[in-house]
Amino acid sequence: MIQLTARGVIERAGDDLATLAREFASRRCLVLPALLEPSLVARIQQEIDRSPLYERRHGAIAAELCMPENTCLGLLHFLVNDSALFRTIEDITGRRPLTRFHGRVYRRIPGRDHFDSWHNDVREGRAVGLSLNLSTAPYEGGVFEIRREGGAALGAIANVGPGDALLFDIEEGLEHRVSPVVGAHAKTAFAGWFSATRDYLAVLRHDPSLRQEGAV
Amino acid sequence: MADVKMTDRLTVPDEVVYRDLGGDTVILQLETGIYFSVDEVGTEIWKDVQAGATLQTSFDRLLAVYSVEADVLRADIIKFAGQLVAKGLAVVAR
Repeated sequence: MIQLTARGVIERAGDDLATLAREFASRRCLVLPALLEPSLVARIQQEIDRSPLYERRHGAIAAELCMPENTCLGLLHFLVNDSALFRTIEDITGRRPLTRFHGRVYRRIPGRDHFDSWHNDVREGRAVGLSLNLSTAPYEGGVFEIRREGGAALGAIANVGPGDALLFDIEEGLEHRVSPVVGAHAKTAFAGWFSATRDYLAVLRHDPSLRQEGAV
Repeated sequence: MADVKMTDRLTVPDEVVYRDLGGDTVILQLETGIYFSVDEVGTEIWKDVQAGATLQTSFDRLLAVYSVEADVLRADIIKFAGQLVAKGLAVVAR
């Protein structure tokens, strides 16, 4: 599989794309192990721990802590909005074209009334979801589940490996949730959606968290 | 502008990340959150930097590819490499 590194996207040994595509078609979700290289995971975890987080309530769907727009969030968008990653996600999911990823960093703390209810993400051209685990310790609970509306779960994944990415499908009639986090450790993730709504390069030029300084 | 010679080899510091965004290369300096766009020829030189090539090697390769005067290309490479170093996007490995 592939890995996002400071030096771009690299290919690694692992399941081939055809195998992953079959798994995704069946379960509508899967894990891409160590999508983000360990040194970047460590750096980003430190940045998140230094950042203020604010309480975010998304109606009856979710409540969590959220990181404001800052350089760390800009870096995450910069890393994930990679054309090679887009092509890989397209091959696994069959959703194409993908031109942009947009997400947020959230943290759910055990015992803090943080939750996530069944919902779908069908809006704004979202085609595929991704949640990158940035937790500093293995958390308990926080299991991602996906199902046909009202039906049995198609897939359930606890995405606890540092830098591992959970990939999940988005379409009418599919809904998902993340179970409450329990135990001693919080769950922190960079979660968002791939879409074809706008080209990332155009978005980057208006990203307040990063600043352009002339072409080299 | 940083003092750079054609015999120099540049390396990329840990606090610099870069991406190919559909043909354009964008280089991000993590400490500052400042990013830089690099054009087609600059991208070719940047690839050579990543490969550990000297600027002279890059010059020889690009001279064979592009229709350009040698003196102009040499000056452009020196200027580009000097900007990379000055902006903290690369360091000279001497």
